[in-house]
Amino acid sequence: MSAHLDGSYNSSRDSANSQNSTSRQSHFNSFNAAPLPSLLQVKSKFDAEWRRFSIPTQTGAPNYDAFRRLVEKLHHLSGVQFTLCYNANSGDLLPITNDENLRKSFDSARPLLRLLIQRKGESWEEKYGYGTDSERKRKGLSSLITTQKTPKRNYSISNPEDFRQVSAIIDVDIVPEAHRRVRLCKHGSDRPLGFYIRDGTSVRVTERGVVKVQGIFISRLVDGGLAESTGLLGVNDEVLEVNGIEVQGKTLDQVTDMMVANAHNLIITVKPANQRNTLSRGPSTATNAGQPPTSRSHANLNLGGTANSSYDGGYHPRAAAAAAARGDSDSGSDDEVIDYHHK
Amino acid sequence: MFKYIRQRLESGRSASDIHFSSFVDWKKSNRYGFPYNTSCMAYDPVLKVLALGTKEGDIVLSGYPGVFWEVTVSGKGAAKEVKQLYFMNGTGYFIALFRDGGFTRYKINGSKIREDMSTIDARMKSATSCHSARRFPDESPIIYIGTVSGNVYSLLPSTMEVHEFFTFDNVRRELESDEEIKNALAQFSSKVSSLCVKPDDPSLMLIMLGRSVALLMSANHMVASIRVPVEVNDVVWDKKSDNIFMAHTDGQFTTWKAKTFYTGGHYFEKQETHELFGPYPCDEMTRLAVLNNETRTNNKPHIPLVAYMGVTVRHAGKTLVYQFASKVLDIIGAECLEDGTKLRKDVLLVLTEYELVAIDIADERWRAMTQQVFFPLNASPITAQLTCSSIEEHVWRSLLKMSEVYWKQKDLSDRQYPMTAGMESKISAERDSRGVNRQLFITGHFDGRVTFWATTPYSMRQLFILKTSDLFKDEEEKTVTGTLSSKASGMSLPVMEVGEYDEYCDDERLSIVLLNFDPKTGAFVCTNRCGAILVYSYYDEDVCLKLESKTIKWELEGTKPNLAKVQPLYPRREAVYFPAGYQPFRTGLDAKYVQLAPCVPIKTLSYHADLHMLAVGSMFGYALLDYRKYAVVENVFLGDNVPGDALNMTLNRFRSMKKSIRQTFRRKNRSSTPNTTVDITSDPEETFRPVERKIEGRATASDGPPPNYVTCIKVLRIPTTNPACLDDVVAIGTSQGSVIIYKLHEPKTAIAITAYKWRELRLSHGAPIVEIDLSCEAGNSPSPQQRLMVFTEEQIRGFSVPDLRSTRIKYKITSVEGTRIKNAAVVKLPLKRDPGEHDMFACVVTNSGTVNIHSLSSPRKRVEHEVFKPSDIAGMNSAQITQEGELSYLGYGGQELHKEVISAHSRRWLEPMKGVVLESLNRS
Repeated sequence: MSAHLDGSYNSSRDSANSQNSTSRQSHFNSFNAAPLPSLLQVKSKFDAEWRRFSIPTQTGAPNYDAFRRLVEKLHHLSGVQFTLCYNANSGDLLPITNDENLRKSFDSARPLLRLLIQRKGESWEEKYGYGTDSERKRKGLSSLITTQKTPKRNYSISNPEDFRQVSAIIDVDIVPEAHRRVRLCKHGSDRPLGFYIRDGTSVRVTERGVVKVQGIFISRLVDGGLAESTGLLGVNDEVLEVNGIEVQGKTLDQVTDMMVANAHNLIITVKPANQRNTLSRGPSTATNAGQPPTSRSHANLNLGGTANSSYDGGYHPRAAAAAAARGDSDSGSDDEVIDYHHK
Repeated sequence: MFKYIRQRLESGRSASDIHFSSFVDWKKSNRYGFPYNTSCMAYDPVLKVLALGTKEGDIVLSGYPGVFWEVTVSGKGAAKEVKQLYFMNGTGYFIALFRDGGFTRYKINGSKIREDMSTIDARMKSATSCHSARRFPDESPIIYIGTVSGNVYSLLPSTMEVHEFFTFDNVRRELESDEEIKNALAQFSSKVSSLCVKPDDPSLMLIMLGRSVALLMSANHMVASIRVPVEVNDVVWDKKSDNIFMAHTDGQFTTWKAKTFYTGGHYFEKQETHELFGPYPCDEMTRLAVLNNETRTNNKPHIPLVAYMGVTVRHAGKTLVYQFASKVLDIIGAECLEDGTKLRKDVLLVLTEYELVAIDIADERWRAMTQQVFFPLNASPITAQLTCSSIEEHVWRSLLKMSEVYWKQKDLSDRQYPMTAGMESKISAERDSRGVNRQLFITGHFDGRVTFWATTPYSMRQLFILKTSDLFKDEEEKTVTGTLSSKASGMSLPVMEVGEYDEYCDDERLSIVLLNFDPKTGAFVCTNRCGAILVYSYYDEDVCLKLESKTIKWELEGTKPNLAKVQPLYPRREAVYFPAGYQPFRTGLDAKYVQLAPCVPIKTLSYHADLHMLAVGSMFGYALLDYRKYAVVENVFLGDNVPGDALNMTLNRFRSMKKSIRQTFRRKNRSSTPNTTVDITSDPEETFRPVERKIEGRATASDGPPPNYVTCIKVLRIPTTNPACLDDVVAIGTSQGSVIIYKLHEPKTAIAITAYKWRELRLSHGAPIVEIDLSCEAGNSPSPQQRLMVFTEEQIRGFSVPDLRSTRIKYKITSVEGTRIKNAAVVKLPLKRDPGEHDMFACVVTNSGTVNIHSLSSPRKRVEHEVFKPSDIAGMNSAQITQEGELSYLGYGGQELHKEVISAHSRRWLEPMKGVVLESLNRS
């Protein structure tokens, strides 16, 4: 494979970051700006497999369908639903879904076009929108350099056929059948979570027989709120855990504070008052249909496992709590430092 | 290489295997101040110990200041309320009678009090009066208990057995043969209202039935009875004069004698009637005590009498009325022998609801004595408090000097309190001049006074009071304690106001909001509710000063009607005299104080005593001020999105309480009228909805963005440019989770300090900042492990300096535990077995009432200790943690100061020497 070096190849991510703002601004108007090399090198990754190949571009950019078929063939992905993403210059991971963004992706081939193939429903980006995690991944050298914070994006990039996830039932394989673990993703939206909790008593079966214990329940849902619109939480559902931490023995105010503190990524384990929907039926339609629940829950676990290890999340009794840890750790590095001295 | 490996190993130890037990050891150490809800007292003239019992079930014993025992009664609720205390004089035993009729015998056992034996007798529930007396001179005393039925029981302290001593029914027929007595018993019931035993002949006893019938008993046989014309509240049988004193409900007292016929029979004879307050009946006389002041020529007893809200002392035609601001509960004439002459010079101890006052009867003017124990902490309600430890020696000396001057001008008798138990060992302990003994506790009060207390580990002593109200114009002159003044209200008797306690104040603007003390220079700052900031410094000379105000102004958008109501206090026009000691800070003769406009209370403040830089933050913004030049260096307005109601609430808390009481009465009046119509318009679901909480992210709070105000200001020394050199910075924490850091520059020329904004740290979770501190001790050389610790309500975070990067010191307490941080401090705890080694910890007070100690190297590791009830908000808010690992907080609404020791090592020297060996006890 011949290497076509046009321009400087930036290997370190910090310089890529320094170009953040300029590349963002040229996102729409630089469609035909850079001349394409005659042979485009591609490095694609699916799970742990890597492929290197090149595509001729003399005859113009290949169309999306052909490109997708090529990738499918190379990685033997027939029968697997997958998404295509590439590492953009800005450091963002952006989707390839049509001819136009395929053509756009070639701009980032310096000299390699780095493709990431993921199973549909597994990627972070599908849940939270593409291009949102560049801040999250700024670790190592690049984070040492204090740059002007890029302005928060107010549009979201996603696959056209996808909707941004607002809620999900997760960890179906480890949560008892009668319980349900729900993630409410408030990401970026200003829609209120919209529910109330109250004190109450619930019945537990213990070694000493059936005992009444204090519990926390959902008392009502606000019309038009996130909780109501997902349909995953109902009035009188008992709240068992908040982001992997048991609420047993905590007061109403403590649980309220826990939920508010985790509001950006709230994971509640509930025991639904209406048990008809928990045992027989799998995940509700609000999540991505078409995937067997076990594989998706696996995906969540994997994500939790590979997420930035948390030093602060405190005590995580179960693997499920890793989800909480991830929720914690990604927000931590959102702190801003404004340096007036360097200005 | 070896060094490197050793370093790695050492750091590994502190990071992973922290044994909290080798650093942390909780121990309740001491309580200071007048015990809350005190109900009774007793004095042991042999051991010279005073005991106070409380309705909360605590018994506190005090000898010489600092000699201190405490015991909490087992049991709960109202049952453990201590009703009476009796000392078995000289034996170290004492007996407490509880509300539920139980008796417990305690023994002073070294530093502790041992619960010795207890008995419970249902008959004692209805006890109405008690008296302890010896039956034979060398026998231990017996407690006689009179009950509501008219029976008298005797309790033998040695066996704790209760015997029937006198049964009313046995003498009922005999008594009712007298028509007058029969009527009196029918009218006033037959309960034993009071009883006393003849001191030198314990076989004779006087029993008052129904406050109107006096019975004389000789070895449990009734020998005489009489109907007393005016009801009797108290009887005392004086040893010296053999008189029986009766205190009457009409304000008189009478003296009687129990005489014997030559045939052997007994009879009563009235000697004298003393009318204290003119010809008309006035306040009831509730208690009566006889004191002796023996001189070579005169040894007639004084008779102090208690009437509601006052105590009267009468001796040889001279009468003096003492006025207290709180209700008088009891009086004791404490027997005291003068050292050389062995003459009796008794001390009158007056127990009121909020303080203990001792009056020196041997003094020519019968003055009150200089307070030594059980200081009333909340003499005026406490509105601010501050604990300072490790005060520099020269500062401490000047504080002591001020204290000396203060007490001298108070015109009090400087006689030693009669409680002298453990005096010898205590005095030697007080000579100990280690830094730990130089602790200061400062309280700001509602009436504008600031009280300085010296709290050594053993005792707490009032140093002096600064009256900030003196500086302002509309201040009312109050009668100084100890001065004699005749009341113009028709009463011709001389009246002396004694005691510190005074809960009333006219102007709430005077109340102190915040205090700041610099232990290195002694500079002291206090601010009051209307936004005046006073900086005090120590001066050696007296001075007359005219104060002026310097205004820091924040321009508000729009008008806030509630703000306009609060007017600033104006300084006095004429010069004010200040004695040597704390005087307003000045350059030359130009003394100023800072006034905020609008007049809002300050939320936080910090004073850099070396640079004279004052940083203040309020609900509108913050300002940095060069106090030497009175120049505002920086003034930033953060916004006025404070809801007007909240402001109103903070300023008019007391007024609104009055209002709510008024409303309660109105509601009561209204509900008394029959009202049959039921309000059906209200939604039944609305009324029966359970307590619920709305779950909502912070950013989407329904009432707009959360208010932005300053919550914390700290002056720190951190490296800002060169890691090897420290700079002075001011860190300002806001309610929206930002830390704004200003760098200070002291110019060499005479112009004011300059400050410029260096960095701003915006925390993504946006919770209010509670505390900013450094993870290592402030030293002259910076340490590479130095972290800027930021405590928000929800998280503990450590940031590297100078680039303020997030480090792995991070703990999200609210996400994980659901509790919020109320108060935080970085503490340095030495290792128990090797005090030379120490580690730094973060100590946080949470809103669930626990105090958590987190390891700073991995904050996830922590120990928790329950200190407060979750409802004790006042206690949590007042909690302060010193760097040495000592927690102090106000208990019972500010009436007591409680201390707890965190550090395992410092326990040894912070623990009070509660039990000093009582030599007198050992001898007996």
